[in-house]
Amino acid sequence: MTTSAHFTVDGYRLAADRYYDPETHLWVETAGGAVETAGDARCGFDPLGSETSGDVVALSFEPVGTRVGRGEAFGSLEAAKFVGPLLAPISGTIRAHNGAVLANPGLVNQDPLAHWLVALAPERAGEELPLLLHEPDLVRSWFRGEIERFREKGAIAE
Amino acid sequence: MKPAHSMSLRVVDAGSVSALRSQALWHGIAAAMQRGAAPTLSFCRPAEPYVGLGYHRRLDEIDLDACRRLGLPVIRRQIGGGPVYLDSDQLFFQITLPAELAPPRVDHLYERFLEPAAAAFRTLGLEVRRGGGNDLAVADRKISGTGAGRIEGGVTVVGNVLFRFPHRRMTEVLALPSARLRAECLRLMRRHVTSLAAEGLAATSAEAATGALVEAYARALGRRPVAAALTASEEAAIAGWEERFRDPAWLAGPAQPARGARRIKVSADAWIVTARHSGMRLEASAAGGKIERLWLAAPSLNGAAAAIERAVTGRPATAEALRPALEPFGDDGRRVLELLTLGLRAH
Repeated sequence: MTTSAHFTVDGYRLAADRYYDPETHLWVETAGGAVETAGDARCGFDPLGSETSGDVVALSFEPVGTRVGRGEAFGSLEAAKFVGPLLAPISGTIRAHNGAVLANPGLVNQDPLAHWLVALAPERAGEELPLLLHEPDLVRSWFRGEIERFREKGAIAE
Repeated sequence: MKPAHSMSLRVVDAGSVSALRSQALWHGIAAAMQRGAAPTLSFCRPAEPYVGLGYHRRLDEIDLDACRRLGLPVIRRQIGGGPVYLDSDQLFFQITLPAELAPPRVDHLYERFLEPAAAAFRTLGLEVRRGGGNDLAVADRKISGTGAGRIEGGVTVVGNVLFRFPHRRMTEVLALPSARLRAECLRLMRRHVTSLAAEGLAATSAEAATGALVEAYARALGRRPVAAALTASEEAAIAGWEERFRDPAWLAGPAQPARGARRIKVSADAWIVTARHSGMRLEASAAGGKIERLWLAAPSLNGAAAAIERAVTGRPATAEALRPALEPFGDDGRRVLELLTLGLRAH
């Protein structure tokens, strides 16, 4: 996977090479970069997804080889005795789990951009990646709005 | 004009039900929850005892032989937390709402939807406060097991009213590495898990508890309680969950790595830890933020175990506070600190 430039929005660090899902607060990182040539795609939490999840104590993923549609659960997360589904930002077949976060789920709180959850072989990258936010100005604008929304709900600090 | 259900709180009281149904009931209500639907407060009591297990917990945390011997089925739920003993001396309550109405933070979810339960306990005559996020306690004594989860379109927050609680039976179903740790677990549980009967309210009926909860949730949500029967879609979803709970693959649970340490939470502020690494075995208990007991076993300690145990007992249960107490013991002290830190972080 490529390393890339980062930028910050109100103190939250974001990676410029990711595609951000505004519905689930998960990012997608494609091996190929370009939408048309996307190879395996890794998914992980964006910083707001990580912060509002609370201290993650357990993660589980559907088995490798499972096909998940966009918006379907590819796994579960547990924090403070709350269990919630992890919803796939794109459709695809699960190719790998990140064993490091399964063994130490707190990593996704420590550095959500550095720790992917699963790798997917995308099925409809050409159709679905454009539904996510990638262009830095769009990401900035959306993320700033989300920060404001979460602040208004008291979900994150000022 | 708003639809009639927009200001109502559905109340479903399923009464005494089978062990399977006591879990499937609220899983099904959540799964069938539609966007824009009224929140549902549901109640039930299991007719027979069983053991419940949190979604991500390994089955080997339970002593399955003991469960078989005691005739206790084991049911894995789709919310968090560890193994729990459940029986007819408990009233289960669940508040379920469409996912879009749930606060985005789990601590806010508990704040909003467990505070009414605390208020209901106070109506019954117990000074219950919410502490440690999702614990309902009288002083430092837990009086309700709680948890939460999103199940399809619904988010549910669950709790129970403990009329009586059999501490020894609870410890019997846990897989623990030694009789000593089981005894310690029982000691902490007796001190930190209470019940209405233990608090002098043995005469409280399930009807009184249900009434107090309905009133408290209706008031907190600003909604009018309306008794309701299960809908056909809820019945279908409940039947589906009963089927799932019977499936051995569901009981086995999602794959979880074996961990070198395990922390068994007794209450928000009391727990026991067991950890093992490189020939060293550690067992410990803590309450009120301090280490209460510590036992070490490792051939390499050469008799230093007792001195380390004394040095650590009574210290705050944090790595920072334990480090200076363990430094004089060199490599052994460092290994003990590593194991304790591992245990403190375990769930």
